[in-house]
Amino acid sequence: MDLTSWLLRRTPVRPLIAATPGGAGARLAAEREARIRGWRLALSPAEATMLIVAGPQDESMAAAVETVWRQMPFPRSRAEFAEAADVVTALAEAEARLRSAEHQRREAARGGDAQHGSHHQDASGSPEHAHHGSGEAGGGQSAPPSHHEHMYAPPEDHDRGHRPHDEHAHHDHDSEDMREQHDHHADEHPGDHTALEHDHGGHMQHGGHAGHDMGGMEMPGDIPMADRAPDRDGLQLDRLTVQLGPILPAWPDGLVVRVALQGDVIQEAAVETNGSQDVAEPFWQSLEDGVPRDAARRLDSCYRLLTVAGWEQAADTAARMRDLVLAGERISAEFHRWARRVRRSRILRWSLSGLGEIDWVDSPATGDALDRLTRWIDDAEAELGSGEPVPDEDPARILEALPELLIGTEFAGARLIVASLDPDLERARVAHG
Amino acid sequence: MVEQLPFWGGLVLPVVLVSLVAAAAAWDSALASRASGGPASALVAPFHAVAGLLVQQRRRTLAADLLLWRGGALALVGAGVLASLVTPLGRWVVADFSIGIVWFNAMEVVAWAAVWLVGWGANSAYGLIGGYRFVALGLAYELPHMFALITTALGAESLRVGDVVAAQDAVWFVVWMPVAFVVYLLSVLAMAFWGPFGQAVAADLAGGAAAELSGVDRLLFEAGRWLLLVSGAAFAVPLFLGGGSGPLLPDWLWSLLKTLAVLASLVWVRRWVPTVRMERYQEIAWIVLIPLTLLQALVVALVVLAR
Repeated sequence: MDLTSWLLRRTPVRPLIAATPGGAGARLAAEREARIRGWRLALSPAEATMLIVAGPQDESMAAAVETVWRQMPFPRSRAEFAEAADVVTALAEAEARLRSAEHQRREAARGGDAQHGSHHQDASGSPEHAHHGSGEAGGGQSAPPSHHEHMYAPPEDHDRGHRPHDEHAHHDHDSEDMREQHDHHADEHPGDHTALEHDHGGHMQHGGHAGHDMGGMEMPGDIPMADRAPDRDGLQLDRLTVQLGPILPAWPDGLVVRVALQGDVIQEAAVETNGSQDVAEPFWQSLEDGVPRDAARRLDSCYRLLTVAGWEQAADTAARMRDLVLAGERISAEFHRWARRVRRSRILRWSLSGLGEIDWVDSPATGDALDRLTRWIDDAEAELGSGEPVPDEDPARILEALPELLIGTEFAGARLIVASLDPDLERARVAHG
Repeated sequence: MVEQLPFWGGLVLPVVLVSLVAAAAAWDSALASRASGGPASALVAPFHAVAGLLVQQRRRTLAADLLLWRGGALALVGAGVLASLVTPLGRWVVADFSIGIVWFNAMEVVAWAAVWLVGWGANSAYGLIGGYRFVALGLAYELPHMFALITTALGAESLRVGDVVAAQDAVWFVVWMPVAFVVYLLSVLAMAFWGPFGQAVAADLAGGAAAELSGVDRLLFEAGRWLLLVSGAAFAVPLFLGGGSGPLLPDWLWSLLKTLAVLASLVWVRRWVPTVRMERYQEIAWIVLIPLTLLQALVVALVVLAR
């Protein structure tokens, strides 16, 4: 037995969960299983050792899933399942693959081959990591594992500059179709290509720049330059285009928001949703009668908002209670303790108040992020007691209002606003699909 | 009062610090597991995490500044260890500098550069924003922190840590410098970007400054963060809690127990409070904490003049 195998057997599982459209039920199952097994969820592909693709296969997610997979370092393994019922087997198998030295070596060798096959500008050019291959994820340039190569290494890839170097830096959970968006952006904001003092080029996704005349300037790794645009104080600052979602911790399933960032302030935002097929029945409505589904859904929303707010303990408790509610158990004593603590937290109030203010009459989304959180807790309390919860706001209306709410906020604020609205996109796809 | 150890003191120090880190990480993991209903084996989870990071592949990102990116994580570890050079354990200290308090502060400021470089070097949007957040945090916490440190030096009329401990023979500084003590603890949380001040590596940023780290690099970064937390907690003992003084037990044990108590409460705080948004903390730091610490320093100065 060698040391590597010994260490590998002790490797903790850090799953990154990618829920596909229509996969809310599968996602909840995955989160519950991870929690019970003591697997802490990964925050980024770099941290992850397991990729869990929860929900039915969906074309619109494939590119994002592949990108994230490519960014994950070895050892890694992947679990895919469509139905919540299959979660236990899928995760157990993936765990076994993760801990198997033989499997990892084989995969690494395959990835290494692919890397050699279509090797082009490895930014760091280090030879010792030939097997790095697909794990060389950071390198947007590096080739994907061989079996996916035909999909993600288009021919123009080899022409310098033509590839939107989007996969890499943002560990952008992004997809190939972003290219069009970037072209669009680039046209809108030609920027100042001659100003190079701030080489934040790598954060950029402006594939469109590749087509511009770069004036013979060589950027490290052939990355196109960042745009410049006036910021809120009238200064000319670098401007990065970043895609948020669809695979991001505590992010609404299937949501994609493209933002233009200056520093960490959002200058522009465009919202879209992922999903190529209609959802027959949204998960939260499909639950049988007798299960307090609104309470469970509210707890799920609370879990994500509290995660984004950085309150791990309260978030974990919410997730555990959500799973108990879904399993048909009673939680009232614990719920009240938790609700009191969350409602009373001065720091939370201080962090959430004034964010994402909405003034719709008679809407459950009215008010700021703090109001919405309080309303969720009230709703859950009502349903767990004897009252009636308030129905959700129409997700389509939220999506429409979202860009306006996000523009001008700082990144942390924007994440909190999105989490505090938590649109149920499965519902949107039934209504409008 | 405080005596400098021979050269091997410097070799023992990392061992002591790493043991404290292991204890703190295990406790943090156990607390987390209790909230989420995970398995009871959580105590060993941090050790498994180390094993996992040792075999994990080191990632590279496109056009990363490798030297600064990886150097940053290393600098964080260095800062965490070197800060403790001047912290006495009971009567023993590795280096009894005449400007011990300034040394500690200088080492902890190295963390500013380290976290920023790690965030910036990866050439990633999230890492960069994490770096921005840490610099903003530094601007908020550093001034109140320095005034808190200066207050203890003022009370002891010396920058030598041994003199600060000796000055607490009669009364611990925490008794008549409570504001400085609380502000100091807040800034320990901040310098280790821990708990309420963890925005630089927060979940909303997919890990922020640490988002792109894997393998040994992540191990170093995490270790550096814990070392800073431990070093900060340990330094609170000679500054405010009378160093190794206490009845019955030997002084080194008192130092250790007090350190563990401070460390345990710092770890525990994370369970009870959400992250503070930097723009909000900036206001509190500049409008409330700086005047408060100045006032505290003034009170201490008057007492020193009068006695």
